[in-house]
Amino acid sequence: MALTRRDVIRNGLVVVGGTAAAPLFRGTLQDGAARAAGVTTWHKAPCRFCGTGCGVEVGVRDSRVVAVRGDEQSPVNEGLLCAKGFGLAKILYGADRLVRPRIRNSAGQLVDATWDEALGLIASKWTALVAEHGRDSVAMFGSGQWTIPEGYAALKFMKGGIRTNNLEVNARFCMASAVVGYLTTYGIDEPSGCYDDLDLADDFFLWGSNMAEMHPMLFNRILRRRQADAGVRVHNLTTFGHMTNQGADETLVFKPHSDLYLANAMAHVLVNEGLVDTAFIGNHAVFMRNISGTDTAIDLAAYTAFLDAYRPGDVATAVGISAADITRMARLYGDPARKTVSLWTMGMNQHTRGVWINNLVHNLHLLTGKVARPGNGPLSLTGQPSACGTCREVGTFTHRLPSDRVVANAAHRAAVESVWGVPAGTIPSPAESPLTDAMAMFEKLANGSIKSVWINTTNPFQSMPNLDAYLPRIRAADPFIVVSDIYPSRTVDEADVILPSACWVEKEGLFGNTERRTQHFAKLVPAAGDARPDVWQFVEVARRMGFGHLFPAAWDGQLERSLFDEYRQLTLGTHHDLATFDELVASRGLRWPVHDGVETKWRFNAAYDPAVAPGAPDGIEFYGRADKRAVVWARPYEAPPEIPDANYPFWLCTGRVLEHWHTGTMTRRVPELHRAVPEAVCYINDADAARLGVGGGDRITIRSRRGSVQMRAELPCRVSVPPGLVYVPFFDEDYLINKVVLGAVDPQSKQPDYKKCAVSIEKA
Amino acid sequence: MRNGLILNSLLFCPALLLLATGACRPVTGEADAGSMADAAHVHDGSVPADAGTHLDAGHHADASHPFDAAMSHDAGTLEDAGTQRDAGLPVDSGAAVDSGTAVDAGGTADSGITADSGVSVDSGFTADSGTTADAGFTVDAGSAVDAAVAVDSGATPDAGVTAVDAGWTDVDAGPRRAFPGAPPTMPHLPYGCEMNCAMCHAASYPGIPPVPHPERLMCRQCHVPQYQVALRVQNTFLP
Repeated sequence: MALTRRDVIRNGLVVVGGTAAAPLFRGTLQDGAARAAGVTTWHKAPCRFCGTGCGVEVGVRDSRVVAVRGDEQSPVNEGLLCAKGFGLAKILYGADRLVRPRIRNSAGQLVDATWDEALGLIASKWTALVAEHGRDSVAMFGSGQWTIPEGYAALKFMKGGIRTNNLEVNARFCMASAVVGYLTTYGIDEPSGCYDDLDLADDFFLWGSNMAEMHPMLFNRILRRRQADAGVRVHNLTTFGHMTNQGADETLVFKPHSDLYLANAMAHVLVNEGLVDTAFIGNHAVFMRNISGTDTAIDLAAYTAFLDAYRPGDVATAVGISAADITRMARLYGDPARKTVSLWTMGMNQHTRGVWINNLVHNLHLLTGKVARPGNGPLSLTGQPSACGTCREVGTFTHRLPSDRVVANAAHRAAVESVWGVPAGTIPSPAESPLTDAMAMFEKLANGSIKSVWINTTNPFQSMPNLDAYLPRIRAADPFIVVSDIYPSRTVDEADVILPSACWVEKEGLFGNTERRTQHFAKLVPAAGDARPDVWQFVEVARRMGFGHLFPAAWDGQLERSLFDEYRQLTLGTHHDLATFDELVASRGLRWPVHDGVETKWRFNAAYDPAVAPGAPDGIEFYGRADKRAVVWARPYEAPPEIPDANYPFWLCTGRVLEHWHTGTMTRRVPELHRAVPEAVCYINDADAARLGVGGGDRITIRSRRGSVQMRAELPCRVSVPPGLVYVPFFDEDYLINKVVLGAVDPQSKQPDYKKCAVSIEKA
Repeated sequence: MRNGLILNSLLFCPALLLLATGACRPVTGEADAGSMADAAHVHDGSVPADAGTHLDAGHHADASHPFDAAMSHDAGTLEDAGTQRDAGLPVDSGAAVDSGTAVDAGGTADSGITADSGVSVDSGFTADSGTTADAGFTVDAGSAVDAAVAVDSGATPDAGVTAVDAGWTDVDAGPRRAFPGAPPTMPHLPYGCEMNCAMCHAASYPGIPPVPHPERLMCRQCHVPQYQVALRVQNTFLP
């Protein structure tokens, strides 16, 4: 049947979305768009914001974007868009777009410069620094908003040209724990399933994900599924109430960090109530535990003994959810008649044991055989348009190379060097150039060992945790800071050279979304002023530093294609095989691995994935690991590094709101979005507010051991926090809540925990 | 009893308390605002359904009838419409009341005029009207009008309204669609904390425009409220 299906697709029958349900948001909106006078052409593009990868159609008239509408042909969103998606039309047109290069002169003033002056200055500075202080004295910090060609060019420039591992991305802040979770469980990154699972599952478990706000169109897809089948249930597991409550069947509020208890307690129920799919486990899984620093195979008996410490009745108090509820949810996972999807975002990833909680949720699917099968699977939701496509797949983290290769592996380095046509040994091993994760990179900037950083497409001096422990020291060390961006920001404020970048459809590019879908977009309008694409900036500096041989393609509109074609060679035969450039131009994206033009919806499943070996038991094979088995990990509870006490009695959780994206650089320049949420507020529980004499609208001081911020208090409303916890969104550069946030990281993923630290609240 | 049915439905709703006290009020918009005004007429049963008519909230409101009390605030909103907010300057609330002019609600949005659309009835802010709220947002003159309406209608101002209600005022910021095809912004502030738009915007409530897609629960994923605040940065987008 699967072969038939693949054949059908290959033969050109378009299958959109996998459901017969009517697309959402047709009618009035689309009719209105059709009435738009003077709109001459519409073009497909993926959204510029979150990792969902919604398809939009961009209306272009007179070389300007004049409208955006949901792309009905997109299998992701089928014509729907959220408020931010509609805001795309205006993100290019903030009046303060950066439109020409600027250089800080000897008097400390920023003055206009030509591109040649700016690029020449960067190249000469970096050449001199490398000569004097070594290749690890320069660094680049990018993001999950890099297109695939941009990330690939940055990777090649830094690791193949300058030969440093000082390349890192802001994705370290948002989903590094999910990456290590997939790798440690399955041996290969990214989800087994895809969004089609949202149309098929019976139970949706949201683990620390305000999906209604952060991934609105995917949440709508779940709600559509629920409306089609009265038996479908949405279970919202969270540490505070938010917009997702409205769409969920139940919201269960657990205590911060107790998800480690909760997931193990659910596994305890599965194992002790006979709800484990023993055949699946016997064929496809191994049990492991890290003992004294060594990953060690254990057996089911040892795993069962490990779980003894997590009886629901014993941990219920610590979790804040009753043993009955824990048991009931576990039984849903264990019900073979129900299909189950787990979804998570920052709640699990921004966690000092983010990898462990990822492993523990994967455990629930492995124990029940609910993975790699339609309607079943754990699906990590990403927050940037190409966090998957660029940071993970191209491999722009300090330790990575394309298609799950790592710089620590000599064979992996050699494979990449071969395609790059550079001498063996060009790409440095970690011994030759130390791995430098995001927090380590900012520490090296502060201690002076990194003397220049090029920050591109991200705003770390607003978004990094524990800002005051770094930024003043970085200023004192005075590294040479280059910032490429489209608008002023807290990071642009620190720049010695500002490079104005083209944004979104002002350039050509490809993004890769949460469900392994690679999507191409064309350049539709000229860039603002003299702004230029980031990939052009990288190549031009590389050329000026003598690395032009790495980028042989001329800058004639073919650079993106040639970079993608070269990168694609590094995906073939790795289980990450990408579609061809032309296939992506012609389609609404394809989900890798792509073979003969056919995408893969469910990896590890022979009915959908030709990489599974013939004869694999039940057609399932976790080929990411040498033993072809996935790992059920025994991961214990470990207390967070900081918990509320008498002096700092509140948990602080930070996050986002639907209307603004990350640091608000773009969305706060969209009038409708700015007026919808003009500033960040601190949500505090009624009882806590009353005790402190704080009323809604009062200014309060939020103080931690690291810093303080004054902002306005908001009583439970759109967000409803439990007693003892406050919630602050981080989009507002006027209230830098990241001065307060703890910078502690997960020891495996190096991802910081933005969700839990101890603060005091007082009326200002 | 139609009103009884509505009340029974709404009494479950925490937003009702805010409705009753006028903590948040609808603002004039294009057709929707007119419809909201129509709803007031329908409920009152004694006023011709004409969105452009100046409504006397004091006469209209029934102090014992929370829903009507809320609707009386719609009238107050219409009364205020057309007053240009002067951000950053202290406002003489009395003058603002005098300047209030009944306008055609449908025409307001089309004209692109920024309407003075009133503020919530936070008693603290009402007493404070004419001062600049912290964070740089000005409490506009409508707050004084609100207070008068609230007193007239017998509703008790709620001191517990939220920061958003107190400091940010709703706005009719011109055309409610960013460009043809974009979803309209909400014509009024959310009632209290209510996220369930269909609670009021249902087919069973005459005069209140029902949500066009009741099967979609998350209206606010696309339709966002608009507070009366200055833009941080102008936007040169042209539809």
